[in-house]
Amino acid sequence: MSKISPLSDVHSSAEIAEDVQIGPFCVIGPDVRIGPGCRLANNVTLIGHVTIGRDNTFFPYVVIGAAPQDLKYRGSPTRVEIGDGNTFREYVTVHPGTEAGGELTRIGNDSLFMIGSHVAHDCLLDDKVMMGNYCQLAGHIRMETFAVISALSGVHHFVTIGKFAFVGGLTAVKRDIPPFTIFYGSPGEIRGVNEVGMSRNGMAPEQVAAIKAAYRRLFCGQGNQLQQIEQLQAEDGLDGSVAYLCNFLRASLEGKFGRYREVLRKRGDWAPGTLGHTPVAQERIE
Amino acid sequence: MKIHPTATIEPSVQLADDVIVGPGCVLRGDVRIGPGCELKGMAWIEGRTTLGAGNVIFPNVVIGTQPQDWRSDPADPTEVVIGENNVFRENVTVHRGTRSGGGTTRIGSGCMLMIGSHVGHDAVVEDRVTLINLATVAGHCRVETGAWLSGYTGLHQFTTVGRHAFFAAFAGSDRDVPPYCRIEGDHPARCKGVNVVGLRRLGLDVEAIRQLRQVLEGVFPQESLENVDRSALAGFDARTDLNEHARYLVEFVKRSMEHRFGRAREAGRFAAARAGHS
Repeated sequence: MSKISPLSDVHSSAEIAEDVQIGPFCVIGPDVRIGPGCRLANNVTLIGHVTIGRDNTFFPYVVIGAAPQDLKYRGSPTRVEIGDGNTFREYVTVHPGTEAGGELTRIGNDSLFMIGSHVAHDCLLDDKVMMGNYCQLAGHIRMETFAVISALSGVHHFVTIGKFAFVGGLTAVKRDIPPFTIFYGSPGEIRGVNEVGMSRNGMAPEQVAAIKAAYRRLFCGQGNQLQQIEQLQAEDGLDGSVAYLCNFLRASLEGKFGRYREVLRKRGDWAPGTLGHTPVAQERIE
Repeated sequence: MKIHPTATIEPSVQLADDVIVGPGCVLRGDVRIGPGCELKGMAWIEGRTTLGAGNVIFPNVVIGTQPQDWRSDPADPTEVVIGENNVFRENVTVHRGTRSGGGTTRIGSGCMLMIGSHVGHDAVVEDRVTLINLATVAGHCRVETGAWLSGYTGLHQFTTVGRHAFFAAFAGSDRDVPPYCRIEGDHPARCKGVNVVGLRRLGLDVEAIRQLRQVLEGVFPQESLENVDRSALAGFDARTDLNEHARYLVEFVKRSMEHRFGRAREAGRFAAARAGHS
């Protein structure tokens, strides 16, 4: 039995699972689907074509699915898809995709979006990402698993933030952030390896050590970074994560301004389902 | 007591006689609101939250919700305690404490929290503090009396901001910020001298301000809060002619230096870990 406050405004064609809790003054539009176990506090607004999985929590004043902030958007029924177990804190905003950008904004599972953070049109977010207070994603951004952005940071459109990457507070991100690294400052710089993030999330110590050794060669070593990548890739028995890091760096070098996803913009290759993955094996760290 | 008919108030909530509750407010849990408070509308207050007299709460304010901390549990008996005569502007958020962090988020009296500013779990904000739009006080921080955080400023968790310190807009610090100083920039934050305007308003004379400037310039010769001149600090510490404010400043910097990353409240993190709560 769903617990829906009589003070809320839920459209009769919205598909809402049985045990969803909806607080007072929520507004739910006709094309919204909400999975079981979701909890909406008061004043949550879900409009547009929004699909939400299981066990998500929405704190007050969250707005999801309102039209994207893009001048080219012509009002098509673009979508937002949200996985399971996410938390959206107060004043979070998520916009749907645009026609030119793949028509989809996707959020994975078990992520935390802190107060006032913003996920813009056509962003593709993997699982277990975390966004601090008031950090803002521009359009077309991809965040990989376990990526963290700290409070009051902003990310340029078409940036990719690699898995286990950590962006410090008050930082502007204008180019791809390689996986496993720490990036902060003004101007921002890559400042080290996110050891804490990796070990907290269960990565094996030997794998962390391999990444640290590769980091030293790639970012603190002598000579050209591309040569270092080629030397590393030529080695036998290369650790999977290190190979991932090398591929990621090469992909970022392909795109304009160090942003791999700019390549997609140029090609206009936006068909839904083909997007979002750098040409890198998506091996998961269990 | 004036309560709008669309406000939702649970029976466990205790309101003083002359509280005004506007349309769409939701009050639930052990909320206690003191005399003369005004909730203009759409406020959400929950948990063990106590507000003293004369607080004014603008629309869309959220107080007492669960902390933004992976370890927090909705069932933890943690609380928010707020003093008197504070102003909470639109979209302000104040979270309750965590069990491992002491359990109480405190705000003193006479503070102004402007639009969208945030006070995190277990933070302590003392009296007459000003947080300007989107200023973000992270978990476990302490902001001492009279400090001023301008727009878009941020603090790292466990940071202490000393009395009457002033942050310029877009500044941020991951180290303790000494009292009476003016801070600009981030990574690292830079100490740009004394908060002259704030100290004049406080009624300090020219001589006292001069002594504070001398200490700040001596201790942070390169402006960066990361580079403390230890010998200069020891020199000031040995002096007997410092006024009470300069003495407080020297003691503050010494305390911060004793802990890792220059954050005195990191000591609380390890105390919690030892007590088995981490």
